[in-house]
Amino acid sequence: MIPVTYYLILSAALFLVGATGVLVRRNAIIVLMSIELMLNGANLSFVAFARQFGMADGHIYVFLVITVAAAEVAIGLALVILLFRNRGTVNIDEVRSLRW
Amino acid sequence: MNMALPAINLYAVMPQIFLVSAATVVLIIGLFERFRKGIPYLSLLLLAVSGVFAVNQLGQGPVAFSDTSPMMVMDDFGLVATLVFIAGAMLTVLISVSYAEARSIDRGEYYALLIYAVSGMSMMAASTDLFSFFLGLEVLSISLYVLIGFEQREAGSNEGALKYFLLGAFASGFILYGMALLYGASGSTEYDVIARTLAGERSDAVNLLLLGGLGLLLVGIGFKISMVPFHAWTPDVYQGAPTPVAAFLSTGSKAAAFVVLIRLLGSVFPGLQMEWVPLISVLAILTIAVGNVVALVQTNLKRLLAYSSIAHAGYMLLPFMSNSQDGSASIVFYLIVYTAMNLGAFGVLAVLAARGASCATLDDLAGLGSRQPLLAAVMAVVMFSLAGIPPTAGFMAKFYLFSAVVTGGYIELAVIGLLFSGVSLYYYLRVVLWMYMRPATEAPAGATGRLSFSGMTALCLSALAILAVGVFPSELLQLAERAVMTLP
Repeated sequence: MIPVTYYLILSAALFLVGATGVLVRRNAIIVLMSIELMLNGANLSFVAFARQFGMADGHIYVFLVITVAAAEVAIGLALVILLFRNRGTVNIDEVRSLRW
Repeated sequence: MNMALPAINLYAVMPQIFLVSAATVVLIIGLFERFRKGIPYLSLLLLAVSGVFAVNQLGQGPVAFSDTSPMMVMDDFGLVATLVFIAGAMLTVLISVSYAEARSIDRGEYYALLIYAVSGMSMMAASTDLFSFFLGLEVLSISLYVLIGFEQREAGSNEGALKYFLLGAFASGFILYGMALLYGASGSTEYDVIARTLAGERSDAVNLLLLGGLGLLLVGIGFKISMVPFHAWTPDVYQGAPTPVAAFLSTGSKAAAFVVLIRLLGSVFPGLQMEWVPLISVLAILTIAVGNVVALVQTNLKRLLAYSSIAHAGYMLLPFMSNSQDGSASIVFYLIVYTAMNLGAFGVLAVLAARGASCATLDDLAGLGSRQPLLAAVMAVVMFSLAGIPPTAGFMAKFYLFSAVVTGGYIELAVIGLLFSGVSLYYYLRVVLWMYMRPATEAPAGATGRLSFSGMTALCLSALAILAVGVFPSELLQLAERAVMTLP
């Protein structure tokens, strides 16, 4: 059996890759994908802990998070499409009309 | 695995159930074109009815949603918070009516999403489990992403929505990972269980998980309350969002995050006080400093109010250090007053913008005192209150807040906070000065329409409430104290 620590290291790595992606990449769609990676990193540690404790609630949380993430992505893609229609770009560095 | 269905008590989540159903009713009726004019008033009615239900449940003592895994609890704290959110949403609906018509965004979804957002905030306030907090936060955030981007053809609205969405979802990721770590440390996401884990003996590994979890949660919540260094989105989003939505965003969603913070820092994480008190005090001072100093050079009114709201979030972080009932009560009191003040300030801008006049910069306000005496008077009251000048509610709120900080023994924090609060006088009074002392350069084009009646009602109500609370604060303070009494 694989010890729970391995899963935790993997989930931390996923989370960090996602967080780095949000900070480094400038394409709105790739940023969205990176946010998904962060959420799934958290999901993996929920599942790993739930298996270690032998409890079901961690698994249930993961299902709820997947639902929430789906709703979030639906809104996010809609916003990206609106932006693309208005500006013709999905690069978030070019979207900076709001400045003082 | 043996699973028994837990006994649940629906009465404990009545306010939330009612709000969600109200939003759904508004959404469905909003589909019919012929009812379009009536939708805001229907929303007002349904919000008022849910408010009455919540008032009825006040003072009944905590009722948990379920005994085995509580998830949500109905106590005075959550109910008072829900009432504040409902009042804020009702004022937002009133100032939205003419603005939404002028910008042709007066669709049923707008008001439905507003009520969905309130239901999410109410869930956050009632949650006793990290997971119900997360779900409430997502219901709130997803509604807000859409509301901010509601002016589909406005590039600013798109941009604000996308910025808030990307940073909001990023913050949700932090909160979720923090929750996973806390779950790993204590075997549950319930506030009580986490508090018990903290109180008991804990190994190094568990300690690490708890610290990491708390840190990530604070990062996520810091985004929502626009705490420095996670504040960069605030001015852009407030500027881009439709003005009534910015009003709602700066009051309701911030208040909801603070309510959660009171529950978390006050009753779950006192065991880690040694670790988070120094961190939060430094960040609170930075938040106050950045908010007040950057606001000095703003000429765009929405950005000015955004930086002012950052500074106010900083003030509200100060009483957390002492972790006393007085401190929590002063935060609740401040939140209530802050909701009235900020809705008033953004409301004036929304009512002016609804007439077709551009109302973006300080110069647009020049001569308002002679053109629109009533509107200018409301704005003056609100600005005095935000600056904390007696006899307004803002003074009382600051007085209780800083005295709680001083009795908690953090005198140096109070002194720094008050100094920066003195700096803030400059930019608040500058608005008043511009309205009364500067002659209007030219009559703004297109500003011929009449001021909206519902908007003016909302503004006069909040100005009167600010003055009334400023003179007779005891009733509201008692309410705030009663609310925090029910906290464990």
